[in-house]
Amino acid sequence: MEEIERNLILECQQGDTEKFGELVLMFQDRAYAIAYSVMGNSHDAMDMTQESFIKAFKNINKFNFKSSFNTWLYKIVKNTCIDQIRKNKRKKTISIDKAVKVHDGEVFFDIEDSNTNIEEDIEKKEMSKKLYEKLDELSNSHKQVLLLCDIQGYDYKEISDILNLPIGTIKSRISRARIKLVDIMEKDGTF
Amino acid sequence: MSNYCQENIEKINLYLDNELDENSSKDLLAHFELCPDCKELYLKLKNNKENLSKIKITIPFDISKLVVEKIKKKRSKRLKILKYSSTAVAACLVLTFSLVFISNNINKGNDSVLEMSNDTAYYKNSVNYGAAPEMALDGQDIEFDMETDEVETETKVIVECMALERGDDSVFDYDLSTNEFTLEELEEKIQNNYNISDFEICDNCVVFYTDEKAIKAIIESFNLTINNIYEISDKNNFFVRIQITK
Repeated sequence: MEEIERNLILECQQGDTEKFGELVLMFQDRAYAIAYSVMGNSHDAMDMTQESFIKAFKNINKFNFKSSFNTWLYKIVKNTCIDQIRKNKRKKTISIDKAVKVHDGEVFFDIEDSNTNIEEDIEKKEMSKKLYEKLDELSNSHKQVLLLCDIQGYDYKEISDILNLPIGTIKSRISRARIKLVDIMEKDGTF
Repeated sequence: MSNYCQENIEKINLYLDNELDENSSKDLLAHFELCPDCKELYLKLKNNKENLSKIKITIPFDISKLVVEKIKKKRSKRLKILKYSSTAVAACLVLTFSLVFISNNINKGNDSVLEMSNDTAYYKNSVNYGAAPEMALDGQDIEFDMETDEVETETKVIVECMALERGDDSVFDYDLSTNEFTLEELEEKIQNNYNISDFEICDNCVVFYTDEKAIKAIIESFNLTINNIYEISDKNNFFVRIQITK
C-alpha cells in the first residue's frame, strides 16, 4: 500500500471527512466499475457507489490494513449491490438498461490512447468497445472475473480475496470465461 | 472452434497472466511450434486481454464532495420523528433482543426489571412479542401495540447483546453490547451487515431479510433464547423481526 494512501486512511479513521473525500476521489472509478458490472445500469451504479462509500466511512475503523483498501472497498461495493438487487427482486423492480451501452456521450467508458497512430487507435477503440459489449453475453460470474482480471488488472490472489473464492476456482473461471469470449467473438465473425 | 489441445487451456491462460513457471512456459512455447491451433488460441486470448486492458471505466461525474456532504449530514442529524408503517409479513423466525429505550414513558409489560436508575430501566430477556394482528406466535393471539407509532422526542436504544462476530473476512463486525444508539444508528448498523437486506422500521419493531447462515451466526453470537422458530422453505430468505420493547 502506498504511503499516501495509508496516511489518508489513518486520517479518515480519526474522523476526517475531508480526507475521506480525497480517498473517494482516488477510488471512485474502480468502485463505480464494480457497481456497474453488478447493477447493469449507470443510475443504479452511481447510487450504489455513493452508498458504498458512505458505508466505507462508517466502517473505516474496522479496516485493519491486512488487505488492500481496494479489496476491502470492493467487498463493500459488491455486498451493497447484492443487497439492492435482493430488494429490487422483492419489489419487482427492473433495471432500465441491462446491456452495457457504450455511448460517446457517456463519460463512464474511456479507452486509453496510444498517441502514436490515430487510425490504429480508432480501430482498437472500436474493438475494445465491441469486446466489452460481448461481455454481457457471458454469465455473471464469468463477466465478473474478466472485469476484475483483464479490465481492472487484479491478480489471481486479489480476485480470490475480493470474491472470497479459492485461487484454483478463480483460475479455472478466468480460463473458461476467456474461452467462452473467444467462442462468442468467433460466432460473431469478429475472429 | 479450432482443435486446440484441451489439456493446455489452463497453461495457456496462466502463461497469459505471467503465472506459469519458467519450465512449463518453455514447454508451452515449444508446443506452440508444433501445434498451430494452440498458438492461434493463445493469440486470440492475448488479443482479447490486451483490448480489454485498454478499457478504463470511469464514473460519470465526481461524487467525492457529494459523499462528504452526506456523511456530514448524517453525523449531525438527530432522530426526531420516526414514521412507522405497518407491514404484513409471514413470520418465519422471531428473535428477541432486549432493547431499552431511554424515554420518559416506559411500558413494563411482563418484563423483569433488573435495576432502575433515575429515568432508565434495564430489561433482560424480554419476551414481549408484539405481532401484527394476522400473526399468532406459539398458538397465542398477541395484541399489537399501536399506541406509540410516532416518537416525538429523540429515542435511544441500549441493546444488551453480545457482539456479532463474523470472522476475519467480515467487513461488518459490530458490537451492540455496551453502546447506546439512536434508532437511526441501529438501523444503519443492521443495514451495514452483509447479509441483511430490506431493512425497515415498522410498528415497534425492526424487520429485515437475511439467510440461514447469518441467522445461525446471530443466534450463536447473541446467545439468544429462541421461543419460536419457524421452518421456511427458502433457506436463503429468512425474515427477522426484532421486537422493540418500550
